[in-house]
Amino acid sequence: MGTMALNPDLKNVTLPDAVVASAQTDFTANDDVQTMLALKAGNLEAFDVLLAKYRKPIVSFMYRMVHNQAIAEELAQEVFLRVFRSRETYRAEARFSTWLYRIATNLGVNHARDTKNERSAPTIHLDEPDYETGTMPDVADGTPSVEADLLHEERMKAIRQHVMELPERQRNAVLMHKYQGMDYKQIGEVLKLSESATKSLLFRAYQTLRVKLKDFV
Amino acid sequence: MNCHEFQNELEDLVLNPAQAPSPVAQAHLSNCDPCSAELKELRATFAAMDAWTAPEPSPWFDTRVTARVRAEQQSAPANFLERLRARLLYNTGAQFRPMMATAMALVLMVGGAGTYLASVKSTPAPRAAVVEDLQILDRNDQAIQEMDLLDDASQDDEGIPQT
Ligand SMILES: [Zn+2]
Repeated sequence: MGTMALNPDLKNVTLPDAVVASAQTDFTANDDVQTMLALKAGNLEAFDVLLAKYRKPIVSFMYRMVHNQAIAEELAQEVFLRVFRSRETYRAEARFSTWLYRIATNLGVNHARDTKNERSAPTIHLDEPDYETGTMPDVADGTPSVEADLLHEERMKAIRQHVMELPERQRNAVLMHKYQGMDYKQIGEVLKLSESATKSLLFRAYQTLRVKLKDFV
Repeated sequence: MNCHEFQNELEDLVLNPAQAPSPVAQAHLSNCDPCSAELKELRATFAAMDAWTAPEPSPWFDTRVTARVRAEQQSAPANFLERLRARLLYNTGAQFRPMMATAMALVLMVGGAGTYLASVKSTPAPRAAVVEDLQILDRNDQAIQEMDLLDDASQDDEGIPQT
């Protein structure tokens, strides 16, 4: 990805020579903080690098928070926009991804709070349309693959429902731990909780899910 | 190892599914059906949660982000000037007085009192100094707002916040 959308018409106009020269640097060897510092210094190619790396994890994280791809992508765009806006005030104190997930979590939580009254609790019914396919689950016609699909569908909805019914912090911790592959130390940094508090938070969440999902395991 | 002691290790075993039980925990598991069932169920639950999949980002995701970033970049100077105008109009300006005094002094030094009005119209250097100072204030505001945003983490519904 030598020149992505942001660069061609901007870098020669706004960037000092030294920064333009470093735009040729290959970022794949650098870590995120370095990339963010390059962005801070005015190297717009760094933004494309971060976008390419975190686009998928952030969209799927937002998707699980809001269960709607269009809204998830809207919120994910906002996350990246805030990264861009904050480039000048960014301080390399925490891991970049910790900071990124903190922005994402705040946006997701605020969205959930704003829409809480409209949707009256994040309850998902088994007969509601599937947001991924936009279809209603079919009535079983007896063929094994359809039955298997339905079983998968029901299981997925049960998981989604019971994860979303967890208290806010537990829910966010589970989304990061289970689906973003983050360890509890980093999750604790995102949620501003101690390591041991995060651990017991997650453990309580999985204990709840063990009971609630008994029939689907 | 008793059941109570096993619970401490159970946390780690659940949160790190790849981790194998320690020899003492293993010994406890083979003698204690409830603990052994609990671990099995927790691991099964964790594994079953894989069923909740998420769709791929749409192909136009990057284009949209990039467009928004670009729009923001292009409107940034205008926004700044609007904010500057708003500040000067709606602010008591007390905090700017030293700055304004400096600017005024510079104007007087550079152009003399006679050309003051004309030089304001043609955007002289002292104005740039004021703008620069205001930009610094503006950045500080932004920084404070961003810190507020980060600090405004979800309210505690359980767990102890780290202070
Ligand atoms: Zn036991």
